Amino acid sequence: MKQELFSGAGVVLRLGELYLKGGNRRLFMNALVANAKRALQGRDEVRMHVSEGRVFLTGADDEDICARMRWVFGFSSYSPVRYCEKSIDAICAQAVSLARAYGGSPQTTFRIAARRSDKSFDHTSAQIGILAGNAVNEATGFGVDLESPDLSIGVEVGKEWCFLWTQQLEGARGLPVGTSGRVMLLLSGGIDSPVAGHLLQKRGVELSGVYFHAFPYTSDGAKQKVIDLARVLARRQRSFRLHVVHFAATQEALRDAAGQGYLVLLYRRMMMRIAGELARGQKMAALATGENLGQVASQTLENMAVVEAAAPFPVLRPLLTADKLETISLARTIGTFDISVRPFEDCCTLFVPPHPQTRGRADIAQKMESRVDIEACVADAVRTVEVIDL
Amino acid sequence: MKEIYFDNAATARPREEALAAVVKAMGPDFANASSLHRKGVDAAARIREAMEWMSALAGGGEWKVLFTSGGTEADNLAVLGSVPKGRRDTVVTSSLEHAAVESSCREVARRGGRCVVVKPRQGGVLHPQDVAAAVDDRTALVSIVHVAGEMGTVQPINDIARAVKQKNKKARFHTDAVQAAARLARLDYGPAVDMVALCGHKIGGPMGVGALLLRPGVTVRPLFFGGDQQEGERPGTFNVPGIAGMGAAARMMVAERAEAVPRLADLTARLGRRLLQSAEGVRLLGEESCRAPGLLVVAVRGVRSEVLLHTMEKYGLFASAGSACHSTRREPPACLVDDGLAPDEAVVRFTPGAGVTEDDVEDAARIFETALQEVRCGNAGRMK
Repeated sequence: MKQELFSGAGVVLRLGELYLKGGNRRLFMNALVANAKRALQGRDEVRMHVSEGRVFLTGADDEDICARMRWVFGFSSYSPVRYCEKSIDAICAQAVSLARAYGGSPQTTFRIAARRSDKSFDHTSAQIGILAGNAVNEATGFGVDLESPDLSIGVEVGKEWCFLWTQQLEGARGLPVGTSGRVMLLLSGGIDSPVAGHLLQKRGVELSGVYFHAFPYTSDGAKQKVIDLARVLARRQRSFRLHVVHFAATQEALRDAAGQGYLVLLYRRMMMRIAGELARGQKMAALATGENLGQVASQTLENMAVVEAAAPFPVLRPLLTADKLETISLARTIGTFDISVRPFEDCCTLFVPPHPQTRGRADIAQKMESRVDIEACVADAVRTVEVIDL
Repeated sequence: MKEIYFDNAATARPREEALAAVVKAMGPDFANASSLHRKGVDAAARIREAMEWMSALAGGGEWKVLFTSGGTEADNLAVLGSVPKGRRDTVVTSSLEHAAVESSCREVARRGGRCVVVKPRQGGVLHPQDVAAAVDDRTALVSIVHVAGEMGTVQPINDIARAVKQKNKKARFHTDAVQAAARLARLDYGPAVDMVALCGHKIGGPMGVGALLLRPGVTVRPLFFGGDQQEGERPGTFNVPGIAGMGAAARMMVAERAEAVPRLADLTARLGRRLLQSAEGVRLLGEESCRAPGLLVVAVRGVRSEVLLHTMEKYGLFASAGSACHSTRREPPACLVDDGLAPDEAVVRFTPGAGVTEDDVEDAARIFETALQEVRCGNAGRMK
């Protein structure tokens, strides 16, 4: 029966730092397997098994499967593999077949990297390497190069399985989504906030999102852009709840109350209160933003303190120290960049004078806010929030 | 909430008849119009019927019809298909054109030819002598829009074409009639007009289909290559559902326009009057006597056009800020700036369709007034 499980083509996924987990390891493994299963939805022919600290897929090893595994957090690397019978003859035959599939010329060099975790197997790792290497050399004429070969064939022999591979793909690493609690992410439609969400997911956080929509000052195209960004993040979670807050009326009220370049600070303080209220309703422990130290006027240390003073929960800022080019590069890698650069405005620029305050003070902000019915604004926002489950 | 759709110049609500023709052509009559069997012959008959309706839409007479993927391709085929690559020809066009004509004329210049752009006189109407003055012996093609989508004015197309031919009888004359076909009571092109571009979705047909009409004997170089459909001038399998749908829409337009258009013109004029009364700082663009029915371009002082549009949308009124083909552009159309649009004026374009009622006009005017007031007072954000 086990022989059948580990036969044909498949993908083997190696654990990242999960390997270090002690007593909680089962919890993490369960989340990881559930996330990987979800990523495979629609490919019902693929089966999944956990064995000896690895996750095994059997049934297919195509590009689609590999792409689906790319953003399952918790795996350090993965390889398309050929399973084979646990015998030295079968291993040699499979190694020859992989070398032949590679093509190459008589100048091609190769090595065998064998690992035997089942110490009862009747050949040591070194012996496997020598025997399989001889077989490949005889069959193809490829020369051996242990330092920097053109082709590296991996062989792994475990208690229940045996497989060979030639390619190792980079995994998403990090911790399985859902193992580090839930956080409310403020999504703006810009480049930074989805990347901040991605980094939190990488540490195992499950996200919900909140977007502040300034219709009729911004169009529904801006909202669609945020929905599309949220969809990218949603693919790595069980579900993703996006909250669309109708913010224009609150912005008008704040505009009339703000002075001396404080408007953006008042917007952001209000966003924290509303996001906090939504988070509280769903038992979340923190808020998160794409803020980056010094990137714009509202993101100085002083101003971040003014904004944070209004937040009922800790505000996480994964991109605080990131360089803009690093953020853009990551946004491209995870597929949010092209969505983020669609030409729609963001609500924070609305009514804002050209010279915003860079060193705000919380007491001044509070004084301005005393002219606005803050509680009513928050209650209104929560009452009229539009919930989109992705 | 009642919806008032006044964005027919972007796309018109599809006609039931067009929808039925599309469904039939994609359903039971699915065959390839170039197939030799009976089912193919039937599909080819649908194509020929559509050709007749497209000719009738253009006012009748002798036309060769080339079906395209839309108005943009028809304009490209007319311009680039008339000026072969490598020839140092001149094309003459106007500043009122749709992006399809404007960009293909610019492409002629990029390929080594020359492009001359004629500007209209005050009020957005081209003078035939101004166009003729730009024509010389090297002019291979003149392309002038019939109804200018961003200015809203009807151009004296036959007079312009005649003036062009008097100056250089070898110069070809093309007109983009995409908007004209949807809102004039009659198109009657004289012999001086050689090519006419039309499209499906502005007349109540499907998107993704259009036609270039050519006078007998006029040929164009293909833009791309494939089989021998349409004599190789526009290869590719016939889009039978699209063509049948566009043909059905053209048939309805031809049958109804003599009656529907004067009514549309009256209601558009009435909408214009009501908008003028509703607030200060509102004016209608385009020479009054030349405004196309169902196309009202309004300049509004002291607001941003997107904000006004979205605020009207909140109350169920759908309009636009100009051509949808330019909707991501931030500046107003250059032809309106040339015509005296002030920097603090926003442009809103109302394009009611043939089904518009008096109630729609009254409601739209009321919504415009309310929305404008909200935007100007800075309280457009409140939820309705």
